[in-house]
Formats: sequence, C-alpha cells, structure tokens
Amino acid sequence: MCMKLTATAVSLATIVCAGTAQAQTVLQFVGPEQPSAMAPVIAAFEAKHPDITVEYEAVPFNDLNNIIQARLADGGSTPDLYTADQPRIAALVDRGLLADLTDHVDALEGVVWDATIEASTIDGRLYALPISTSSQLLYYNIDLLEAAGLPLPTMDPTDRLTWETLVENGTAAQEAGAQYGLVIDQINRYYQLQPLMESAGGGSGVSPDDPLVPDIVNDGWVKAMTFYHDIFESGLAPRGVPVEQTPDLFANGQTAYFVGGPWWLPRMDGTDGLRFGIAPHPYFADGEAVTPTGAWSWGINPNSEDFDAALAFLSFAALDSEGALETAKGFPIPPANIAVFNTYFAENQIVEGVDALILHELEETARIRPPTRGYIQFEDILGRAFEDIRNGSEPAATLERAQSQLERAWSRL
Amino acid sequence: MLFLVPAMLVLVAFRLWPAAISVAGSFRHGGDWVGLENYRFFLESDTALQSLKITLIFNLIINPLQIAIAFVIALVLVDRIAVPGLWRSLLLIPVGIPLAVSSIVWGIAFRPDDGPINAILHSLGLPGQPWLTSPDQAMLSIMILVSWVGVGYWAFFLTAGLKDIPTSLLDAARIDGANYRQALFRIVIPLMKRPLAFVLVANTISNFLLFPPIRILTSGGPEGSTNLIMHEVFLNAFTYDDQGLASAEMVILIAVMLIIVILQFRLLRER
Repeated sequence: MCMKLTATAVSLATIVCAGTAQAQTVLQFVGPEQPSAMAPVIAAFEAKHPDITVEYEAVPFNDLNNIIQARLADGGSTPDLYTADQPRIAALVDRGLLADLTDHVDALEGVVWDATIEASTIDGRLYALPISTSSQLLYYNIDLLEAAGLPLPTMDPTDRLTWETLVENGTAAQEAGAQYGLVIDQINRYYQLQPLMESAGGGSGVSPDDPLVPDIVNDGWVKAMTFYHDIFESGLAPRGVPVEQTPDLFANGQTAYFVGGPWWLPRMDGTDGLRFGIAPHPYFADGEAVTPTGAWSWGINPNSEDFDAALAFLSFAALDSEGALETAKGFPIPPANIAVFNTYFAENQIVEGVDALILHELEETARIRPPTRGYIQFEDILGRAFEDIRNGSEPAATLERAQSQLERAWSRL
Repeated sequence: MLFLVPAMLVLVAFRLWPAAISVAGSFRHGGDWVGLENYRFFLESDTALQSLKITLIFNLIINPLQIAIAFVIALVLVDRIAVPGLWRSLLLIPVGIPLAVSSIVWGIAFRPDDGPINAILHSLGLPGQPWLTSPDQAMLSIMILVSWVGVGYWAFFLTAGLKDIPTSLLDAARIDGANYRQALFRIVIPLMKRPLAFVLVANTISNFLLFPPIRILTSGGPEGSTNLIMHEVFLNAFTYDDQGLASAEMVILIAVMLIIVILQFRLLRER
C-alpha cells in the first residue's frame, strides 16, 4: 500500500503508514486569506467528512496568481483547490488551469449573487464557485472633519458625495490639520480605480466589441486620470506609499477621507482613539455612480487526484447553508451566498446600516471587471501606468504608452 | 573517476538539463515551434530593449562603485582603525537581513512625504527628494539600497585578500623609502588582482540578476526607469505565462553576461 503512493502525497503516506484504519484523503488549498479566516469552514467540513483533511496554505495576494501559474502550469496535481480572482478566471480557463464544474453542481441562480455567477462563468460554462463579493465605502474621520467645520456625510445613497466635493473638503481638512485629505485604499489597482473611469464615462477600458482590444485613451479615461494625477500633485494624497500601507494612514488618524472596502471595518473599529463614519462611494458630478465589485471564487485544479473530495469541500463552503455560514465567519467581506448575506452578515455589522448600503451598491451601482482572457496583462500594465501618473507623469501620454504596450502584449495571446 | 559520477549527475540534472530546456523553450510559443520569432519580438520591443539598456547602464555604474567603496573600507579595516572586529561585524549585519525585508524597510525610508530620509534632509534645511517616485531618482535609490547590503559583503572578501599580503613585502618597501601611496599602487593593488577578480565577477553576476527590490518597490517603474531585465523575464514567465519569450530573454541575458565576465577575467589576468 505504502509503495504505491506517489511522491506528491508525502503527507498522505505519513498518515496511512502511521496505521490509521481508514485511508485519509488530503486536499491542498492555496489562497490569500490568513489561515485563521479559513479555519472555521475547514473545521466544520472535516467534522462532517472525517476521511478528508484540508491543508490550507496562505500566500500573499500579490503573488497568488504567479504561484498558481508556476505550480499548475506543468500539469502539477497540487494544490487541489485554489482561490481564483474573479477577473482572472477567463485567463485561467484559457490556460487550462480550472476544472469545468458545470455538470457537477445544481443551478446557482438565487443561491449566490448574479454578478458573482457571471464572473465565474466563461462561454456558458461554470469554472469556479463564488465565495465572496465586494464593494467599496467612503470612510471619514469625524474629528478631522469637525476640526475643519465640515458636515459629516450620511449613508443615504441619494446624498452621495462627488469627487469634486471631496477634493474641496479634503483640502479644507488639510488646512485644519489633517496630513492627507483623501487616500484611496488600493491606490494603484484597476479594481479600485475602474469606478473613476466608468463614472467619467470612459468605460471599462476594454472594447465592448472585442475583449482583446483596449480602449483606454478616451475622454473619460483622460478626465479620470487627470483627477487622479492632481490629487497627488496637490499633496491631497501621498506618493510613494504602497497599497499595503495605505489603510495605516487612515487608522493613524492622519487622513480625512479614505475610500476602502468593508473588510477594514474591524481594523478601524479596533483602533483606539479613531472616530470614524461610513458613507457611499463617491462619483463624478456629471457622471453616474459606479462601484467596484467582484472578489473570490474557489476553483479546482483539473489535474487534482481527488476531484470528488475537492468538489465536496467546494460545494460545502459555497452553497451549503451551514458551510457557507462558516466560510463567512472567517471573512469580513460580503459573502456571495445570498442567504448568509441576509442573516449572518447583516447581523454582524460594526457600523449600523452598512449592510443596507452594500446591498444597495451590489444591486444598483456595482460593475464587474471586464471578462477578457487578457486581463492579467491588462491589470499589470495599467497598474504600472497608474503608478506613473500618480508619480507625476502626464496622464494622456502615459495612457497612450500603456495602450501600445497592451496591444503588443495582447498580440502574443 | 567513479567518485565523480554523483557530482556530474547533479550537475547535469540541475544545471545543464534546465539550461538546455530553457534554450529549447526560447524557440517555442504556446507549445508550437516558432524558430527565432521570440528573439525577433524581443528585438522589436521598445520595452525589452529599454530594459536591456537600463540593465547595462546600471551595471556599468554600480559594479565599479561598489568595489571601489568596498576596497577603501577594506583598507581602513585592515590597518587604520581600532577594534576592526566590531566594525567588520557592523558592516556584515545588512548581509544577514533578507533582501526582501531590507527592500520594504528602505521603501518606507524613501517615502517622499513622511519618510525618515526626507525628514533628515528637511532638518538640515535641504529640500525633500522624490526618490523611488521619480524616473530620475528611482534607479539611484535602488543603487543606494543594494550597496547598503553589497559593500559590506564584498569588503569582507577584500579584507581577507589584504590580510594575505605578506607584511615582509610592505616592510621591505618601507625600508626602501616607499610612501603609503607608492606601496598601495605598486604592491597592494597588483597583489590583490585575484580577490578583486573574484569580487568583480561575482558582484557583476549578482547585479545582473538583481530582482527583489525591483519587484517589491517599483515593479520596474516609474516610466520603466528601473525595469531591469530580470524583472522583465519574471513578468513574462510568471505573470503573462509567456515562457518562450521569457526563455529567449534569459538566453540573451546570459550571453551578454558571459561576454562581460570573459572581458573582466582578461582584464584582471595575472601576468
């Protein structure tokens, strides 16, 4: 028995050879969450399936896609399961790195949010199960706003602040002592900045007619990027601070307004001396309100040697009412599962009314990232263009350079 | 001969075989044989050529600079300073810190608005600098960071080389009336050719393959100013999944590096 085991299942061999009566299946899972976030759902699943063990390995989000790429590219059978960033699913499917789940699960409509199904489906086939969704909020520092004599914004989406007002108010707050007027959480990532371009009427950046034709040098994009350029040029927002360090600037009480996800609520709430409030995500005065959305789906490695066990875990964590609740307990981010959102998530909000606001955004203003199999190049090249503009490069010229780099990179697909 | 077999097998399995795969892969794209297409794409790509150019300029500046500083430090450490052991240890501390960690810490130090380096400049009445956020200063900032680690490391090797120089030679020179300058240029430097050749070649290779600070701090920016070729290779291999192009870039990088290393060996050959 022990002789037959492959080298890849060393941990399996240890368990079997140690003399347990039952053969133990070990599933390996790679994702960006802290192990503590995954512990509740794994414990609940293992209690129901004593013959299956789930080993979770946490990797940094920035490296997640590169690691998956490197480990699965040559037909590797582990990890069995991994976190698939929703906008990258098209590229992962194109490279044969996600198993087709269409014939293995019942219809998802009404069980999880439609946008999350859309984000996990390529050409009518389902390749991953939606775990979470996301939205963005405007955080404000009550003390800094009061010191500047500014009104505290409300949570009412009809009172949504404009980016133009935020620049004015942020500048006033800086004059009254705030170090920064306006900080954006994922300060140079497409996810966070897409609503600026969409609100300015520039579209997603990918041609609606052809998902491999970029469209990032139009008036809307230039308007949004000029706004973005100016908030750093004027010192309203900081240069040189990487994404990982931006939430600190709000938590430290240095920043008047902060655009960030609901996952920062526990962190901000747990910070002594920080008095903050929540308002809807901003928009441009003569544009429409748009918020980012999309988060994680979980998928199965097509070369996994334990597909059935992996599928059992996935269905439990995403669709089973008990399992999805355990999944949600680890995540401070809205669950894709509608029933769990309406019960657990709504009841466990740190700021009263946030769940209603997020629900409104998910139903009315959320826009997913463009489903193109060139998304990886798109996000990477734009990320560097955003960083250049942030550091002072001229917006239109930088976008033109990025457009030609993108055309060239997509010509390789 | 038989005793060599395990070592040869390891050499073939972990060095020659992967290198052969890489060269063979540079002629393929998406599983198909494409001949020299990947090389053509490289030579027609402004981004890739710019990256090669930046890598060469970076190396032309940083290698002589690091070695000159390391050599001066080694000379001071050998006979011009009290408690040399203490200073040597202090110089080696940065080497013990993973480059990824030093990169993050230096990234905070370089922050233009609230970083400690600009705070020091301000306290001296000097204007703050944009450091990593400026296309003109980002490479300089990277050089400062890697030299903080590298200079102490290479000084360590040069110190060992200096200690190997027989004191009798220097004593004889002094008796013959040579001053410090003459002893340095006529005796010490010629005798240091071997350790210098090792340090120069090893340093050149490590700087050609420099990657962590670029990945962590600049992603090759601003405006491509720090896009060293290893970062370009990484992007193509692991982010874009374009293994063929990445292999072709790696082959070009190794070829350029080999030419330079051969030149360096010739330059420092003992006569």
